[in-house]
Amino acid sequence: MTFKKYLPTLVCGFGAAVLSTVPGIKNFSCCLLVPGAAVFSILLDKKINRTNDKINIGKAIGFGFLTGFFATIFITTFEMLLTYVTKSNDFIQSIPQSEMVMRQWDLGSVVDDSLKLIKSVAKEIEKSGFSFIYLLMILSSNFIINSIFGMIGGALGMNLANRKAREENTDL
Amino acid sequence: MILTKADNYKKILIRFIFSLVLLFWIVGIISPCISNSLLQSSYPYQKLLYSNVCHQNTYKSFTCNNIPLLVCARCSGIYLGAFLISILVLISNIKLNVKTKYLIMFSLPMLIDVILLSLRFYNYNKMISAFTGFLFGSVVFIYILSGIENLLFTKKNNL
Repeated sequence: MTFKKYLPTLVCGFGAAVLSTVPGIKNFSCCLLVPGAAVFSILLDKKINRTNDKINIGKAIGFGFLTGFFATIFITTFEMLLTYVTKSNDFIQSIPQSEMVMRQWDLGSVVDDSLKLIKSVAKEIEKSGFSFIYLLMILSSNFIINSIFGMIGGALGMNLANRKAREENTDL
Repeated sequence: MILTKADNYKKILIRFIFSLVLLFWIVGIISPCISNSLLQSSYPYQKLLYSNVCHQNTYKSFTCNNIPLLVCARCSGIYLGAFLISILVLISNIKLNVKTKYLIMFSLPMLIDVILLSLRFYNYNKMISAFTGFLFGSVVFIYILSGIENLLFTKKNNL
């Protein structure tokens, strides 16, 4: 079954998303969560299928991308739920700092328009706990970052798994 | 492993693409230093984008014109290490083969730095973090690239 084939990516993507909601872990692991999940999904797939075959680059990148994709879906869902409940998030809290930085550049109306948009997003979130623009922002940013880092993790996982297989074959 | 001319070009192309992607990434990190209205007006989005890969603690980040970069010193070191080594392997066109023990060896300084900082043995030092990150970024990049190249070109040669 096709879905079963990609189950490790779903499980690992979900795991990365859950861990990314824990503030301490998120700060400690930085960019290692999604690549780590991608590595784990490849090793998990190998363990489930009980195979010692070489993993090809296409499969590794695909697994990494899917892990990143599922992580994006879950991270965005958790982030939106938390924002809905708390009516605040890191983005809103960082607006004063961003404003201070942008004012230093003295770009005139460009900065004003940009800040106006961000403040309207903040207002919507504080009022209703939801903003469609914010949803688009985090969905796109999570997708870009997680898919890239997922693919990097996939390549790393492929390398680790293939080397392990090679060493095991040499031992035999 | 003897590469054909076409494979050699392919290898250079792969290395070039990696270098280019890393260059874009580095430009994004230092974008607060670049005087461009489009880049500067999208600063909040860039900050959100890079927040996925770094805690962005201003105290732990390098600054440019009193504006903190979009990632911390350690992450700056990691990406700079990966970028510089990508340029180096692109220019030198050497055959890469990094063993896992080297990956662990070069990752250890960063791990030790993180552990010692967490145990408060010493205060955060941007230069130490950047340097240990630099070592980690360089070796991880070579490790991944060598894995990809070995798989692509060894497989072809074995056929």
